[in-house]
Amino acid sequence: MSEGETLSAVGFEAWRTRRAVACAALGRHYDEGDARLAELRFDPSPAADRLWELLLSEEDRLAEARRRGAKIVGAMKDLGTVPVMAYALPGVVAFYPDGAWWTPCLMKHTDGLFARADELGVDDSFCPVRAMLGAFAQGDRFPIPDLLTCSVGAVCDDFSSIAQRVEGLGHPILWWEMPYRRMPEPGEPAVVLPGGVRAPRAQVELVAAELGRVRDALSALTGGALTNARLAEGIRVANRIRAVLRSLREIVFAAPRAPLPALELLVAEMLIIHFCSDRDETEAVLEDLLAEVRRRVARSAGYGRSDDVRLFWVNPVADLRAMREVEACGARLCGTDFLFTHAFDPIPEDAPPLEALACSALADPMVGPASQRADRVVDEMRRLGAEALVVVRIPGASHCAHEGARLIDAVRRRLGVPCLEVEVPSLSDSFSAAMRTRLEALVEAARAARGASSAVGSLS
Amino acid sequence: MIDSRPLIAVTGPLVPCDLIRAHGFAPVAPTLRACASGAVGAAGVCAVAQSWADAVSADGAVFSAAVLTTRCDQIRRTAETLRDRLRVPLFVMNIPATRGTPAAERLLADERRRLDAFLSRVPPGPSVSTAAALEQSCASEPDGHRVGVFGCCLTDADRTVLSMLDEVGLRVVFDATEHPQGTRPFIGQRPNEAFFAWLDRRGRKARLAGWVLLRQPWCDLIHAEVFRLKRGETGLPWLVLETGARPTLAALRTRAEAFAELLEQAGGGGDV
Repeated sequence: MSEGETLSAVGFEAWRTRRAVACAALGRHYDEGDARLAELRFDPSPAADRLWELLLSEEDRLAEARRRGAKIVGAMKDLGTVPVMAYALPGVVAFYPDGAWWTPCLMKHTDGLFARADELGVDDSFCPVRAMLGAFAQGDRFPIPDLLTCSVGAVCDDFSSIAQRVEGLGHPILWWEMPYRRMPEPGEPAVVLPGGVRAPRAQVELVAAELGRVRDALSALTGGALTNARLAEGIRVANRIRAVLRSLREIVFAAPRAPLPALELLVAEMLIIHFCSDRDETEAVLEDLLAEVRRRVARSAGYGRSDDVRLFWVNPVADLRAMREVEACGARLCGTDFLFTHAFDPIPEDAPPLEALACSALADPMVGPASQRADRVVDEMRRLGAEALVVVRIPGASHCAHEGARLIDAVRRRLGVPCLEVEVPSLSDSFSAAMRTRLEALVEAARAARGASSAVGSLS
Repeated sequence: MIDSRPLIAVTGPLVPCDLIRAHGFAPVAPTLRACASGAVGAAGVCAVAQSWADAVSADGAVFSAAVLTTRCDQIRRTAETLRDRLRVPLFVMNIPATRGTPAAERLLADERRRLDAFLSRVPPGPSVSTAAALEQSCASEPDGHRVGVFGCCLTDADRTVLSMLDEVGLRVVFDATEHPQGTRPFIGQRPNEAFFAWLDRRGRKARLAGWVLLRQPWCDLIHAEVFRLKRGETGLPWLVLETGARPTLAALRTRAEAFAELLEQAGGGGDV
């Protein structure tokens, strides 16, 4: 098939000029302090406009929700479970306070969140999610939630510590136990979780009981019972949205040329964790993006060239700008694991709702051994024909110190493709040249390996 | 008292040492040699976790099995790589991070049962004579300023720091570092108010003049709480020393001496 239109992302000023009406929203965010926008490049589609507006207007939405008297739930750490429950109740808005980790990037550290965290003794040896502590201390980024929940146990130490400090600021937290997912012992009753890993039934029952406490808290918050019927409906809607995102990812990864840039794909995937405080708009945005990429694939339009190196990308970047480097280096994303692949898998609809949600939560790749995460990465890389692996180290994140080497070792042993581990700070400007050099070297290595390795899947 | 039983290496709070003894083993905390080259590991890897793994997997290690808890991300993830290196059975005990909930109680009970089954399968190794653990307080009345020490498990590097503290007149009379035995609160529990209350109580009981924290680089759980410790939530002054695998004793000594002077000026209790 001949290559059709080659798409180009546009810079902020060009976009602002050409798309004055649609871009008014983005212009507003820039004028209000999101200076990083000026250094990003944007997919020039109305669907992408809508995506960025959804992301950047979240604080406004939360403020409006507070004004109209909605109950606001801050679901910390769990990536895609409590928000599903919260949205099953009318008059509730759930969001992800951890998302403040991108505020210093977007505002180029003018927000003061890191400085505030420093004053509270949480310095840059911690993950950038320390911005969340600064946000709670300053109190001017989002309304203080009516209910804060936080999963704890098999979670990274940074987040556990920072959340505890948030509580110490006077914000009570409903802590719920997330045990370290272990292999079932011989003869022990086990459950196959979404995504295929197994866990002891006892652990599923424990997490279900804990989510029962969360349910009771949500019911008490709103005065409305979070019944099994409501939960089941919430699960059904969440699954509907997850299905759209799965379709989007599959089309983007399998297309001969990337129909969506890496940056927009990262943002789109992030929506699934908590629906960006607007479940309905999240579904609409993802459907728009899906329709757009389908149109592009149908007319053979895409970014870059069909021989761009296919990268599998592990972990989100603290600086959104870093994702620009993917296309700039002659590569494209063909697979991702941004720490929450379990949030793409359908939540079981043939089990009692709390048990189903427990299965989904326990399937979190960060809750179990790194070897199981590596297994999924390897399987996906093989399936999608990935030619190289990028593992991003999040500065200060406790899990990254151990996981990266394990993931890379598994991929090298089993797939024999070149791998790169790179740490991306929350402002990567001074590092961007070095990062590009390293990515370019990875791309060159992957190109050199083409035709020499039979372990990589077909590109077509 | 000298004991002589096959050894099981343990680390982490809430380990049911009584159960281990009931199976005929002696639970011991292995000597952690952080100064060994293997403990100066990758950036972000805690020296305690690394040296614990080295201790139990070393040639000549005499343990029949190893038991560690899911007390922190560092230990959990170290356990994943340790399994490949260890020649003896490994048990990873899932301890609750929450406290006082039915789920926490159930998890502890389930894990105790699982550990019981594990221990029944462990072939006993050679019996080794060990001195029974001393009470974590000093019976005598020392000179100098009575201080407590807190931190994770003590490594050999930490013990050089403790010797230095003694030299400058800071007498460690209460050791609140991590000890496998017991059900006391630990800093990683959520919420951890009970831990601060426990430190306060034990500090008063031991008539401490102050506390010394031996902090490992990359230990987020403790590092994040330094602000609260120094702010006086335990009612006593704190000296925070970053140790790691290669502590800079000269610099730490200067700070320890300054702390001793501060206690002197404050009329620090405990002087004989």
